[in-house]
Amino acid sequence: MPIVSTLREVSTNANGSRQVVVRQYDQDGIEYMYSFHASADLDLDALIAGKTVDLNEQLAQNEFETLIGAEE
Amino acid sequence: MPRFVSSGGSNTSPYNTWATAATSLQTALTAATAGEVVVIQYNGVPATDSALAADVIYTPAASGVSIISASNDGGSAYTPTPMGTGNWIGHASSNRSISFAGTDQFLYTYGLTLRVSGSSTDYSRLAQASGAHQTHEDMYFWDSNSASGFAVICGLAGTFTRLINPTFVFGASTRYISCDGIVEIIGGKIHESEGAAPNAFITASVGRLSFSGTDLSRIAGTIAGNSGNTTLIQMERCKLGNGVTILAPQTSNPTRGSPTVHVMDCAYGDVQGFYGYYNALGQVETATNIYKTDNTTGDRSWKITTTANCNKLNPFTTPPIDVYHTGTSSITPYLEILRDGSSTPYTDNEVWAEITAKTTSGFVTGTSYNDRQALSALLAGTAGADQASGAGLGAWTGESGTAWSGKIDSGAAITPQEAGSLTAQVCVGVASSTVYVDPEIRGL
Repeated sequence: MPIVSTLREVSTNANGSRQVVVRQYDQDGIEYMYSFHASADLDLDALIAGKTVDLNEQLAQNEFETLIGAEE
Repeated sequence: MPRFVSSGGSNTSPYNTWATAATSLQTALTAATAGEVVVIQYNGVPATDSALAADVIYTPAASGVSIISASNDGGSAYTPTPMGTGNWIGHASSNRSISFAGTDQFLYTYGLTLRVSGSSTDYSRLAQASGAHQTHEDMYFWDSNSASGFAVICGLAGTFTRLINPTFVFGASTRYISCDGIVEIIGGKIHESEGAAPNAFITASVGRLSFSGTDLSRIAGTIAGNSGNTTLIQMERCKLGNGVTILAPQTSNPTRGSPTVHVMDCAYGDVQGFYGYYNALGQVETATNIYKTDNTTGDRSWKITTTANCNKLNPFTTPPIDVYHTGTSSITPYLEILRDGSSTPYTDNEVWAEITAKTTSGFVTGTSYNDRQALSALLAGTAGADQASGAGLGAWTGESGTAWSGKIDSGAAITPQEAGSLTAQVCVGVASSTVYVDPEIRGL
């Protein structure tokens, strides 16, 4: 199931760098959480978009493996 | 005596001069006895090894053999010299698997370049025999294979692999390393410009993997990918990539049976002393935006963030906070905690402490105490009791206008009997939540 919504919590450190916690949800409401650290100038939207693509691929692979397992 | 390997040798046993060098690495490995050195000319790798006709498994005939890449200094003289990118073992264009085996053997190599090319799945593999103990120094993993999957496999169950100053080049962003057994990586890097940056650097591993002083800054995706396997990864003083995720969401195995990662003093840029701990149930990281004002930990706290996978009976549990305690008086050790963004107290079935102390006289045994809701009430689904109030919001720095200050403790007074470690762990049994902890055991 692909990701359909995203929440992000951004904490800013004294040096301007950011600690970001991302919670993403598929259409069944299942939550997936990850985090990262980013410099002050890093484009968070682009970074999270890229990580969303990776997570969608991971979830698709999980579904495929589940189907294969069911068939076996 | 050294055994030489060179494309210019006459392949005459016992291969102990450059002139009589073997014309294949395996020939010399077969001839070498225990503890001998096999010297391969860094710029004279025989075609048998540099243009492999098929997959190869290099197997020494004896334990304790070393394979040294070196310059041909004439006679039987040599100077250790890495192969670099001008020379290699493997193949420049076709896919070949390159393995180093040796059941129950010690093996050391220096300066080898392993080149894996092509588009069909293949890889470099180290310590590929039960009981193998291998050290590879200055190894260059030149992977230009484009198939998704393993680029480098280190070890099997029951093996030990140490990489000193390795260089990794990946043929595609969908390639990664896998480690089984115990693997230690000292220094080294993912090449800053050659090859692709892996989306997930470590995947499908079983065992224990450690990095010390490794430059992983090329990775902007994930260090430890999703895996159904139990892996313990420890990283210390490593350079990280900007925006890298330490542990991917664990969707194949959303339990503690999936990877766990410890991060000590690793960061992108000038951030010193960062600590992180990650598993499928949650994570704890050093935070500098919210902390207890009178802290002795450098204006930082532990920020615990749980995933959707933890629960009251299987909480996210932090690593221990440890203090050397010598007193034998009755004490109630506690930790100050903060809930930011809500003034609702955490209850004793949501957040609690596990304190371990040496309370048995004459023995070293650590006994655990906690302030969690009683098991019978927990199992019955009884609402938890609010945890005690802490030092107050005025004792913290950085919290928002809505917050709750609390404390968690040993549940009751305890009396240590022997000097030694007194530890505290924080347990969080509520999913998708955040708790700040002052990582200093108080009340001693």
